[in-house]
Amino acid sequence: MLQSVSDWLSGGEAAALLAVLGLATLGTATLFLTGLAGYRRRRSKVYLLVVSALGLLLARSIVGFGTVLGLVPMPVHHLVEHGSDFVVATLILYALYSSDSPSSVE
Amino acid sequence: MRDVRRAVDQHVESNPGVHFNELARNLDIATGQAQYHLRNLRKAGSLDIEEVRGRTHYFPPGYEPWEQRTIALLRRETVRSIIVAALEESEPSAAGLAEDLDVARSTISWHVSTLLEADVAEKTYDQKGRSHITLTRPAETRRLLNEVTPSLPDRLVDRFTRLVDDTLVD
Repeated sequence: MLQSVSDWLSGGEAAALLAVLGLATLGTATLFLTGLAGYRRRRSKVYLLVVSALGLLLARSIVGFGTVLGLVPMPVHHLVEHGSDFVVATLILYALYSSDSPSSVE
Repeated sequence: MRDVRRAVDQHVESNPGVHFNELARNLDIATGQAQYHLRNLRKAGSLDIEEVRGRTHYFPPGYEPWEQRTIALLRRETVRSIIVAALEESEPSAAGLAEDLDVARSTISWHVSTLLEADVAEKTYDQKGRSHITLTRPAETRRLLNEVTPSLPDRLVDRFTRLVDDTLVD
């Protein structure tokens, strides 16, 4: 499984990368599931935007594993990771933009 | 067999008001097995049951019926938040609750009727004809509230929604 990683990482670095990926996946998956449960309760646009951003964070970790396992080539990896940064930023900015200002309530 | 029975007994003891599905799920035992042991424990007088709105809740002995109904309701999230709201401000209005808890009026009236049926709360009307909720036994309700808490995932989601509400929804 680590054959593909050994091309660009030493054994120690590969182990560290796997540990970090494991932690990132655990954290982002927990966050995403929490957000999903929140969205299912509220069903509002703002929640959908936030939970989409959290879903992308989880997707990044999965793509990371894909690269380590040799399933996702490096150029695609970088494209997806930085592309998702842009989309996450856009989603959160749009959530901020579309939320009500306090004075507009009622 | 004896071990499963003891596990069921201990689970009810440490989770008063646990309902059937939750118990079977937490202990990872089959429905039939859970039914069998619960029936035997009940016959032996080691547990009480109380049915609230279609769900059967199990209690260790020593809780009076009113306490059993209150605990059962405190295990349900929305109705719990209505009870908490009624403890925090006196006589909240149904309309105010719907707004504060961000749920539909129909949802509030369903849960309020459950609270009335269980004698946990009473309904009063002000001069404008708006309905308000008053707890029948606030001090005891508060004590039970501390005894039963929702699970960690439930609380995480609650806090997430409060965070998003505070920062984004307002």
